Amino acid sequence: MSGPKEWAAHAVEVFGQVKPLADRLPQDRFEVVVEDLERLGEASQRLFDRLAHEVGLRQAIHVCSAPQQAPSSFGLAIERRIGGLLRDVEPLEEWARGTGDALLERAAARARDQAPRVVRINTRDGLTLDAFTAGDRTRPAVMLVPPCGMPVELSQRWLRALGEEHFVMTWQTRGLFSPRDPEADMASDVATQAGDLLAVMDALDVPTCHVMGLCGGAVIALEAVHRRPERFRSMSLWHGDYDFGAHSTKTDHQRDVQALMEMGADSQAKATSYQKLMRRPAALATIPERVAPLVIYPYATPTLFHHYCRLNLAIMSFDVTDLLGRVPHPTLVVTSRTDTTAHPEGSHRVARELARARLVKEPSGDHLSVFDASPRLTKLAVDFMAAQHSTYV
Amino acid sequence: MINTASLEIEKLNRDLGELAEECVLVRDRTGDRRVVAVFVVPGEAAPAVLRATALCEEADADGELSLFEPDDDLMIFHRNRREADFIFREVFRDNEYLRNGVRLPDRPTVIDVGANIGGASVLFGKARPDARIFAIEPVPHLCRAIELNARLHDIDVVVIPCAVGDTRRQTVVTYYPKNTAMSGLLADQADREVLKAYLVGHEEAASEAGLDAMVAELLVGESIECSVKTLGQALEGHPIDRVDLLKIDVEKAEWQVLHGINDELWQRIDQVVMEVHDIDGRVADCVSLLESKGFNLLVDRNQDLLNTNMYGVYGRRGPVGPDLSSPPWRRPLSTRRALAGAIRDELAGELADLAVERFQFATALPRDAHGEIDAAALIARLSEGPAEGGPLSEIEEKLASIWRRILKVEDISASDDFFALGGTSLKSVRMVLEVDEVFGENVLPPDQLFGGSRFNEIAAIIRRNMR
Repeated sequence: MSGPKEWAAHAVEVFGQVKPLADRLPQDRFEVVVEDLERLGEASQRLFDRLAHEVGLRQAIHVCSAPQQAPSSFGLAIERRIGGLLRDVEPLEEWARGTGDALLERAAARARDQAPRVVRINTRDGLTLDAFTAGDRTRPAVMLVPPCGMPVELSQRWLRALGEEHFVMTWQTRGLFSPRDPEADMASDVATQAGDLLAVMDALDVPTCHVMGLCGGAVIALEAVHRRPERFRSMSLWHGDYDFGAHSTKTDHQRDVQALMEMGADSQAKATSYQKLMRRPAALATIPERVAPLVIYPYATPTLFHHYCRLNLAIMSFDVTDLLGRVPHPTLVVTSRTDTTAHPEGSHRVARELARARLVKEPSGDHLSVFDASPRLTKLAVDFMAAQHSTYV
Repeated sequence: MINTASLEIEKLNRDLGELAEECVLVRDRTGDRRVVAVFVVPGEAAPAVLRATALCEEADADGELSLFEPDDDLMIFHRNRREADFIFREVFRDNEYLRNGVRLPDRPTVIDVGANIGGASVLFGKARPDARIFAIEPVPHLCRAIELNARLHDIDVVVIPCAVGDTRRQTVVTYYPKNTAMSGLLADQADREVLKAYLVGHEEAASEAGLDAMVAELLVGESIECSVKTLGQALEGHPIDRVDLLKIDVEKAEWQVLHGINDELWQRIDQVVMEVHDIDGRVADCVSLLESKGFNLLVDRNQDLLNTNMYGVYGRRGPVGPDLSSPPWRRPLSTRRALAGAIRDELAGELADLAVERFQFATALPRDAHGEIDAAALIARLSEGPAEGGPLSEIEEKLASIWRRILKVEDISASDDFFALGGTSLKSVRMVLEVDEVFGENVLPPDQLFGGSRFNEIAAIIRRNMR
């Protein structure tokens, strides 16, 4: 962190990232352990109070020397993320000197100003979705398809990076982000989810675009391109999580998640039972602190989890074998040599079977690190789109 | 399930000398009549195993403590195995206390401040069976473990239930049931870093996030109200002329312990060994305080904890110097594993390939009205859950094989916790599904797993739901 201004911007961003999960939790406070409570306790408390106020967090944040509440994975993910802000105490000392309030106010205003624009759109089956856009709409359009159930904040870095030269669109999965629980029989198949993608394009009046599918989003992108090939110029598929029927090569992680999705999708009662397992701190074992509050969002309540399982199971068990031979679009397929989450072999096969695919094997990376939108990955995406754009116009 | 109808018993008529009072083989009548289990009443050559057998029945009734054999020559009652393993390594294998010139003389009096489950007290008692030990510990569950461990090893231990500090008061201590060694007056966030540093050295390929989650699982604290006394006040009512060794391991409250000792008591103390957390130069402060009381000092470090701020301080009125040699504490036939091995060697032949885990120890065998061994009652024990270290029933064997596959851990015992052994939520889902496949659907509802995740608890859930 280079200075207090950047630190304040980061703090506001972190609080924005934890809010979607916090909004879903029944608990009314979070606890942040501060080692040197005597020296930093008061300043930390005032800082957190202010940040919570700026982003409209419902819960109180309690600064303490030892946690009092039994930890759940959800509370812990948030507490660790916001507690991480105190690792750099220099800005906190500035705060203690009384100059921090104004800094935070400005940072929060700037964050609101730079946030993706929200557009409410309606689906054919009468649901309302939150779509988001970034960048200048006169620029070439890109549709970002995130993995199922992820809050838009997870895609923030991509929206920002691509928004510099493109008009970027995305949306949040049906049924999982409205204040009211979805109907028990809400449609959850891949065709419907691809229909949501098209509905967003229609509502934003975008005739054609590049579609960028990340992890499970790759499957929805493929289905949308297959159904309406004329609406897409090109496609990029990043660390896709693919199913090829009985002959799929999957990692242990993919099989475990799919098994969990099957259980949770089976019934609300089973989802309630399995969701309790995800409340254990052990649920965070393999998730980096930075993305944990976002990634575990769809596990936050039994109902949310049940519908997430229905939607995500549809994606994870959607056999893409037949579809690949029918997609003629130029496609960038990205995986890595070290991805232990989505098996690289899935991407290799997709690249082999698509008519015009270019396979890129990164030296490292997986379906979480891809959301860091590193300069290297951003350049890969932008260069690919530019190359296609010039030949298509 | 075991088909108990096909089992029969055979009382071994051969004399096993002092190894066993009685020995009964359980055979499967079908096929080659192989031996599937052996019941043994331990003999005089293995008094510790006989005591363990009786105490296990008592501990089972409490439901909190289990017996673990971290080594072929040591048994210990504990709250969880990971931690008992840590205590074994620290106290017995690495000999953190009786080193660098610190020795126990004949008929020593030892004060064990922060005794936890009594691991150090057991070492002192095994090194000097004539020792008189005062074990001071504020957490009631741990006091019970000290008492059982003292009886197990036939050691003279007086348990004093309180915390030791610089002045008399009431306070609340943070107690971590899954990680009792870190319970103490001053437990806090830094504990997480220490535990993590220790786990880093012992967990295979653990990621940073994985360790954090494991630490969070292990450090679920409970608050316990207790009285704090100075060391002198804690020892009131016990006639103590001299203290041959004062051992202090009180999780960051060590400075308060030293401050609470008055000059008169200091003069009666001959040796001090303590674990010190070097917060704000505390090691230097402790060294200077002990030097002012007339001790020669040596400061040393546990190689597993080099990344933490923990040091060992060794003080003697006599000379100190680097010396890692351990006192002799090993005794023959002092675990169930060792006794089972000896019996198997003695019988050789058809028992040569029988796993040691197939031996079950009892204080007495069930008998009918005529005084004959009650075969049905004995065989029925095989289909019940095993006692800690006893032979595995079919349910436990299948469950253990699922655990081994998922957790990639070879050695699994009854008190092991799925999540403490590195189980994640996703791995627990796989366990539930594999249990469904092996035992039938819904025998392990996941929400019940949330309440109890120890091996024996999960086996009990499966057994209950299969009825």
